[in-house]
Amino acid sequence: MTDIQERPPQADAEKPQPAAAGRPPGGVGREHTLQIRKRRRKEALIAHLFLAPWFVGLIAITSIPLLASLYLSFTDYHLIQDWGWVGFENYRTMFTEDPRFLKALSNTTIYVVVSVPLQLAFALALALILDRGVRGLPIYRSIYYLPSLLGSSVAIAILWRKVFGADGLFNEFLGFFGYEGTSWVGDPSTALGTLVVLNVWTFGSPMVIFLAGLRQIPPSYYEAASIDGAGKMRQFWSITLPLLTPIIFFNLVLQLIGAFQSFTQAYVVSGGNGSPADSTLFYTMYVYQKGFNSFQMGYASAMAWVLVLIIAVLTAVNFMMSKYWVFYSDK
Amino acid sequence: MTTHTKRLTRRVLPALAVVGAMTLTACGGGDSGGDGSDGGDVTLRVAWWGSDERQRITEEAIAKFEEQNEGIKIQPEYSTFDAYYDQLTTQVASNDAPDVFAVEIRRLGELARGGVMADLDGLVGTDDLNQELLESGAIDGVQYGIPTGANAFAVMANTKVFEDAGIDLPDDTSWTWEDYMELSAELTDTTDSGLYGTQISNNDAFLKIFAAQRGEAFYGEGELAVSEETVTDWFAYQLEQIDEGATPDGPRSVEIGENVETSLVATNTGAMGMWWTNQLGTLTAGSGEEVELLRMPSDAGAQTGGMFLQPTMFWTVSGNSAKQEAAGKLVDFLVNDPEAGAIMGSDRGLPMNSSVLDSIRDGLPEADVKSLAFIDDISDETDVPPTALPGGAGEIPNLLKRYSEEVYFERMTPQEAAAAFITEANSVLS
Repeated sequence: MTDIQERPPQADAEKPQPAAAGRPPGGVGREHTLQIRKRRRKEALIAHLFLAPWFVGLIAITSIPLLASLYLSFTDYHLIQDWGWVGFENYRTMFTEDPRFLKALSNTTIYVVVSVPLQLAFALALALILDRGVRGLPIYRSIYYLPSLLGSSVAIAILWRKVFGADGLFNEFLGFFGYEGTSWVGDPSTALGTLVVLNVWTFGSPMVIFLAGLRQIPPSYYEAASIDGAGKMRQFWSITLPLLTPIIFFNLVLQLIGAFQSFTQAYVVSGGNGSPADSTLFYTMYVYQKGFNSFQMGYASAMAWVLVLIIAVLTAVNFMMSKYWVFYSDK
Repeated sequence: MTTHTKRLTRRVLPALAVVGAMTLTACGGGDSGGDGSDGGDVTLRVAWWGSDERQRITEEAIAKFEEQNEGIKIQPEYSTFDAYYDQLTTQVASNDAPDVFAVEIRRLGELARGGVMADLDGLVGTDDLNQELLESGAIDGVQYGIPTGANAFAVMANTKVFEDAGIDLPDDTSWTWEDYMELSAELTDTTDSGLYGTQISNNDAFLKIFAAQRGEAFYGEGELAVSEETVTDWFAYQLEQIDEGATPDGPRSVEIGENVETSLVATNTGAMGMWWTNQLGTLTAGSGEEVELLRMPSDAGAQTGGMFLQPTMFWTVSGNSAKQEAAGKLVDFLVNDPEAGAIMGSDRGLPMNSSVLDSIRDGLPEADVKSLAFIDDISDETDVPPTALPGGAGEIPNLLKRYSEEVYFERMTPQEAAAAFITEANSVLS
């Protein structure tokens, strides 16, 4: 990531370098270093002050509960009843005796595997179109970004339920082609699909990052390529795509993590219970049900930690694989 | 660079201070008003769920209480039903439960056995209350909950849809499940497209009545008592309703769900449905038409109609509360005071204090008058109210809904679903 943000590459060459420019050695220099050090310390202090609110939050609101939940995952902590240490029992139950856990895991995996690549492809395609110097780019950018801001909100999920409902907009649209649909959110074979579409629709944030990435590719590459007779497609495959791989990688990692954790959309669209017939029971929703409907917080904690592990392993694999397809131009 | 840093410092530090201060106040804000005892006053935290209307009338009643009881201040904590138990159980687990809170019968047993609630004996006057219903709030002989009022689960019919279809209302004293299905299918057929005879109900009260007509109880000690055969027949009946066109198709039925405001009867797109009597007002207001209460259908050889009165919800007092006396006073006021009864009407079920009911009878809105007449009508036929349910009963409705959906979409046969439902339910109940 960083290499891209620090460009354009000419910058280094043009930057004047006064520090090295013939300063006499001795007292003045040392005083100068002291001053720099003082300033550095001050800057560090400011930086820490800036970080302080976040840091307080990290410890009080994130770290302590995080560690507590790790401990609780080895107990049968129940919100109301007595509880005690059970070792790995929760983890064992999950994989051997809980079909709904496996169902939730498979639902979520399907959702991630289908929606993330689609969403990224969509984002990239639109970024490419917008990068062509469309007039009013900032407006388009904002408009396309909007769904990303709204996508995980309750209001949009309610809207979605209406759009894909029996008397919704989508069926109205299909009606023009003579197709009479029933409720898309009420049918277990299509309900998950509506959630995938909802996630793809929130392509705005990867799109904005793609746009920034496209802006970082020096135009001179394209000029050279077209002089050599390369067509648009050739340029895309040989220049744009390779130089964009770090960005694609970045988006992929972020969206994968985000998609595994998605909750609100499924919760609202399904009415909070993974309906119909558990077809939209997402992992996080099952964690929630276990914790807050069954009050089995120990089990819910264990599930949450399994999710952490899944995401960690997946991200690690992602980073390892990146060696083979991500191209950093400065290496 | 230097001037830049200075400017940064000057501008940013105060801003940071503000952010920091906000963070700190946010951390400390959680327990504000926890004891809030200014000048010897007692502040009670009271929690309930429900609609805006319920919030309005409950607060009105509370204001009356504060007027009569100087020195007691009430701090309401209301939320939607979806969020209610999340909040309540979290508060309970962190020893921060509200002093007074409402629970439904499905959760009463679980919470009371968990030692969360106070014994209300002597704190709340119960002499004028319906003793049978009161019994529902007792667990192992200890009165943990005071019923807010009573409800019956019944069929509701939109008279306008019947009229438009040119079909008479059925005779509800003799109708069978077969009749209900045929009538619904006929209504769907005769009316315009987009109108249906009835809508699916997954409510456990429906299954309870269905089972009672076969002489079976729904719950036993910490487990289901209903037989697999009965549950199979119940699932099969639901599926048949869809197949016969008595209800909307599977996906539509799932989408319609259980919401009363958007139900078919409330939106004049369906003739019948099953709900609790305190929902009659919402259905009538939503449809703008006359909605009639009908007895639940039955089987030809049924031993009983199976209908029952059930406390709509209970008022309970936290076992941890240091102000149980004041809390008891409030509960006493809410269930025994005619003024409170007049303000709150039948929002939490018809009042079960006979003198309150007599004093407000004339002022009740039409829907309540109807419910009251209906409950009077069926009072000879009703079974005893249920006693506190096993732990985990709060999860049963979700289980029923899930397995019903497995049946509608033919992913499971009614028999498979019934077996799986009973196994899973028994693993949840305690």
